[in-house]
Formats: sequence, structure tokens, C-alpha cells
Amino acid sequence: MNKTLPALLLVLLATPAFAHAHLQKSMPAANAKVKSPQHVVLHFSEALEPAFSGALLLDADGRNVSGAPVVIDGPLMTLTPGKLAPGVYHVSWHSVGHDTHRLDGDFSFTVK
Amino acid sequence: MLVFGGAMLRAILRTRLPALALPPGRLLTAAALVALLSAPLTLAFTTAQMAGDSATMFDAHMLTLTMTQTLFGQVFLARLALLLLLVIGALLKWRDNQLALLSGAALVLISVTSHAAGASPANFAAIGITSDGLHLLTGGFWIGGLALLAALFVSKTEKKLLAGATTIFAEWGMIAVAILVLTGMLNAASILLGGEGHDTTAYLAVLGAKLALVVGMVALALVNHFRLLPQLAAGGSADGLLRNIRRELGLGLVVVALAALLGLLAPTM
Repeated sequence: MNKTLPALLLVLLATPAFAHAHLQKSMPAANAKVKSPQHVVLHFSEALEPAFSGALLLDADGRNVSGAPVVIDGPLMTLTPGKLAPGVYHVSWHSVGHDTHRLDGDFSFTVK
Repeated sequence: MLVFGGAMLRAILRTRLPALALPPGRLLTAAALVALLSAPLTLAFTTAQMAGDSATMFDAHMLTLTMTQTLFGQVFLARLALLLLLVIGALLKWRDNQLALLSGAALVLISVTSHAAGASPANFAAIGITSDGLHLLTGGFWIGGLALLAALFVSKTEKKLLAGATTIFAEWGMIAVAILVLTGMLNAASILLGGEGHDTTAYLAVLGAKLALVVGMVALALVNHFRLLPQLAAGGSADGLLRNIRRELGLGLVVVALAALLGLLAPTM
């Protein structure tokens, strides 16, 4: 019993866990200034339901420059736009995890 | 939950108290039918939730997409098959332990797409599924068992047999409630402590209300066990116990509704 409780707490609390598919990080990162990226990769906290998740890449004029269809593999969402001209770009995403809850979000980055 | 708890307690009472005449299983059949007929609604609501558009509730293409392309859809189809079998079994008067097995499997499958599964430590979903599955099964035993007990009390069963049935339910109920509370704490801790961002007020408020009602149910169960059951066993009136069982069942049904609401709310922002 002396060892059980700490072990239980360790299992429960030591590792991060999430109830919905939150965006954890992206490449390029939000507000980053980068050269034209080959891919825009969004990393979520849990595996996504590809049929109900997606993202759009929009330029400063609101034109869709997402390029090839979004590829979703587990918690990763990848956009493959063509060469991007210098300017501000806006990523608008929506994610659905296995718990069926939908999250929406957006961020911007700048191409130098 | 009603079917699982009712069928489980019926199977136990059949073995432990053979002299007891159990009420006909009409309640079980009705509950199984409601579960089967309401399943398409769950599919429609979940599709709308995932699509972020209420119009998709009636969109055949989107409903098919949910059933064929998502984990929820696969679980939904498996549950639908189990519920169909359960209704057939209830109508054909299969044995109680077979009905308990079918309804238990249909109940546990809900946990596959639960918050607890998504919030499992290290994304190892089996931990959350096991904990949430046990939570559902023990909750089902408590609620369904209470419904069967209430039916027995109403059917004017002999007092000695009523006291025997209540005692047997209490023996199993204590184990079920202990597991229910433990798994509830585990689920809440993993969802709230492991989550990103801050906890949402609505989620905490509903969780708090659910906890308060469960405490009320436990208090009623203790009064039943330590005060009203001994009175009944000594030949006293069964009315007080029936009243309390109804109150406990009423609270239990509200708890189930709040648990369903928790499944729809976002724990953290």
C-alpha cells in the first residue's frame, strides 16, 4: 500500500494528457518569420479523426493557398502549399479527436 | 445501465434467493428498446458535433462518413449490433446472465470514445477505457439494481424475501459503490489535472453537482442499510424503505443525466 499510492499518482499525474485534440505546436510556429516553408505541420495532442479534421492556408487577401489536400496522420496535420511569396499567411484549423469533440483555431506566420 | 443492473441483480437473486418470485422482465425489455431506438439520435448528434454544423444531423452522406470513417462510428455499429441482440434476447426471454453480458458489453463500449480514454496517461487509452468502463458498469449495477428492488417492493413480495433481496443487493452494492467512487476520482483527476489550459467553470459546476448528488445517494443507502432494512427484517413496514429506494433511484437518474452532460462539455479551455 505504501508503494501503491505514489505509483498510482505518478501514473496519473506525471504524463501530460488531454481530453480534446488541442494544437500543441506548429511549424512554422505562430507569429514566426520564416522563408517559404515546404510544409506547414500542425501537431495535436492526440490522434485526429481525418474525416472531420482539416486546415486552410490563406494569404493576406484571404485567398486559399493550401495547395495539395491536407494529409492527416495520427496527431499530425500537414499542408503542402506551393512556393509562398513574402507576406503574412493565416492558418485556420479544426480538429476532432476520438472523443468526437471539435476544436477550431487559427494562427499566422510571415514569409520573408 | 438499467438493463445491465437489472439483469445482473436478477441473475444474482435467482441463485442466492430461489424462493423469490422475480417480476416479469418487461422493464428490461422496455429499457433495451429505448436504448436501441435512441441510438440513431446519438449518431445524428455526434455527427453534428464533429462537423460543427447541425444540418449534418440529417445528411445521409455525413452520417455514413461518421459510421465508416471514425472510431466513434465503429463503436456505434458494434453497440447497435449488441443492442439489437439485447432486444431480441429480452423478447425471447434469454437468461439474465446472458442479457447482463450483452448490456454490459454495450455499456463498456461507450468508454472507448470517452473523455477518460482521451485523457489517459501517456495516451495509453486502455487505462481510461478500463477505468471509465468499470465506472459505467458499477453505476449501471447501482441504478438498475435499485429499479429492480423498487419493482419488487411494489409487487407486494413477502417482507422476509424483500429484506433478503435488499441485503444481497447491499452486499454487491457496497463493492460497486466503492469501485464507482474510486474510478470516478481517477477519471476526474486524469481529465482535469492532465488537461491543457484552465478548467472550465461549467464542467466543474456540473461535476460538483454530480458529486453532491452521489453523496446524497450514499447517505440514503446508509440510512436504508443501517436503519430501514433492520426494521423490515424485524417485520416492520416496507413503506419507508420503498420511499428511500425511489428517492435514491431518482437522484441516480439525475446523476446519469449530469454524467451525459459532462460528456458534452469541454473540461479545459
